[in-house]
Amino acid sequence: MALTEKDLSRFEATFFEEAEEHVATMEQALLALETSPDDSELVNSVFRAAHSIKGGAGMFGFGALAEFTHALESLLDRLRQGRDRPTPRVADVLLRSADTLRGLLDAARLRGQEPTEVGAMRESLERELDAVGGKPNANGSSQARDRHAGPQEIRDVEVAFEPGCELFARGMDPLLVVRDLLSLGEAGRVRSDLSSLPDLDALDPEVWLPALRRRASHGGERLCDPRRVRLRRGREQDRHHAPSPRG
Amino acid sequence: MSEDSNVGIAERSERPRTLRLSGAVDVARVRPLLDVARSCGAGGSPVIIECSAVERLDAAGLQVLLALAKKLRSANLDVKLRGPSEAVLEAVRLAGVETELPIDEG
Repeated sequence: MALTEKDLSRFEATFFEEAEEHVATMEQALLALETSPDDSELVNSVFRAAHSIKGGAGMFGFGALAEFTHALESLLDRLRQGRDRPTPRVADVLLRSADTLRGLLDAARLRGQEPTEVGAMRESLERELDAVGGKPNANGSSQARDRHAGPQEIRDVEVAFEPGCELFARGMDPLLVVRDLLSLGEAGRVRSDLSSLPDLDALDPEVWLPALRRRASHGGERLCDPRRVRLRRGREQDRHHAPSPRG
Repeated sequence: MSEDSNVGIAERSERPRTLRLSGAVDVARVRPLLDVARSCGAGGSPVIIECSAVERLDAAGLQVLLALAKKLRSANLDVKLRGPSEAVLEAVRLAGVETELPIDEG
């Protein structure tokens, strides 16, 4: 299946359309939080909206947008754990962040300059995150890390990820999935099985073929199509000897 | 020199051949990349991929570079990256193909 510029434009347009809806959802929920600060579902809905925007932004390569929503998501994740109710100051920062998010979306859509306040707003988000005792981690989710924090729970896991051939046609990049997988553990190693890579002359560049494997120390978390991912415990000797780059 | 100015892909005909990449090397621009890679692959000489100005490299673009490396390696010819940008280094790291696409230290 050939993927055309028109296809990509359509995927992007859908992303922007949905992102606008997510921002609207965020704003409504944040306004409602002012009168119902204990309503955890409101925080959850804001978190889900930010998470969705971050995922799409990363997929389409809108780095500034992905980074900003990462900071926003980190703070929301902390709040949704219920350890801290949003103070009026935090609520104000979150609301202003939604405005900045709109500006970043416009900049991404029009390939224009990002809003001038992005840096300052990001610092505000990180300041509030520090204030509630959290630090952004690689995937923006402190909860996932906390859940597996006990040293007795850490184990080697090998993830075999076999992206479907239709991946590009669906507007996805397997490298972004690997990046998310790597963010879940420490000292992860990746190797690609290139045995199915066709010869250059026979290659259809819009069909993805190699499979990717990674190994990391982590409790195990599924991020993508389970039909395409396999998890298994690493062998004991692998804990002490790095795997060869090629399998 | 043949050049596709729309996609920032150019090939310089000398030995070793140099494939110059810039901007976004992704699925939207992978067809012209494949054409130039095939031309490089048919040249019978090593290939240097000059990629310091690449702003984005996705799996589609990477796949073409890997197929080029595979073809040349089968003929005992090298493919090396020269001055890889952060985007290129990140894509190579995420795919775990540092061995297939080594950096030219020269």
